[in-house]
Amino acid sequence: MRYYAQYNDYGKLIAIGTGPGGTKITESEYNTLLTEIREKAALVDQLYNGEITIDDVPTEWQEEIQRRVDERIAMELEAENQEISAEEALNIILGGEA
Amino acid sequence: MSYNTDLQTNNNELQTILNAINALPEVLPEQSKTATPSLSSQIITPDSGKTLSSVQVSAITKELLANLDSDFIADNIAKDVDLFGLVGTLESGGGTISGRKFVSGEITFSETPTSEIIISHDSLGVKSEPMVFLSGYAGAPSSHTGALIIARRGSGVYVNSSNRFTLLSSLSVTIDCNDYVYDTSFTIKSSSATKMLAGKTYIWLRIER
Repeated sequence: MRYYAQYNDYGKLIAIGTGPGGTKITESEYNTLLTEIREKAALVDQLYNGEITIDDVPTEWQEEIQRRVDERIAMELEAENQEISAEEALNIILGGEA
Repeated sequence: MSYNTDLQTNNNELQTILNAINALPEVLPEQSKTATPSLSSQIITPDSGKTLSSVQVSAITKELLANLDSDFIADNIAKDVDLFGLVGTLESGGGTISGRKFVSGEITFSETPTSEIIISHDSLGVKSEPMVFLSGYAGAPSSHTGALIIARRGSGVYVNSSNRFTLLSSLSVTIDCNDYVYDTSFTIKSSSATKMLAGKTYIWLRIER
């Protein structure tokens, strides 16, 4: 089995995978990265859901985890905004009820 | 008189032979050399003032080939194929299903992608369409951001933030693979890639049509 890591132009890890492509890594490196990726994803979920605070996140990950939560909140707000129909938006602008 | 003439004749002939011997080229000392096969042709010549008695050419071995080309490694040779004593370990993640060729792989995103994702793979040599599945997933994700859980060319299934399933038929570019024949990659367009979850493993598959 071939394991690889995929980086962007700035050297940031985008993804890991199996098969061709990316930069070849060992199975051990793959498993290490997979564990870290999943731990971070879980922390993002927990922080987003209010199950933990940022102080519960390892110091070296706090900035990244907080950024990803902020991005999720922004995306959710964007999604909510998109759910408002044109008629509802017009109603709000004209001072009616939302 | 005749005796003297004969002696003179003999002397002349001897002198001729001696001159011929003196005119012979000098016998050079012999030497042996060794040569190692390389990527270009080689001309083996003796050192100045010597003559070659033999040239020993090294055998072609896996170590030699590895020195000549750094790509000559087990990971680049199909599994169990023996080339010059080097047994391959490459498993391309492919095979056949009911006689149809396929290639597959996994991908796990460190963060939800912000742009399109290109996935490379071995050529099938036949027409195929890519599909992507969220691995080991039976229900809606706990994540509130939603997730693309199944995608194929032109359509897909998305779980929204209310844990309801939505058919992404409106996203006509869910997966774009250009010309399928001999293609060795496919692209998950940005509109779909940005709906894929970080930390979740997706399985991709291309199977012969």
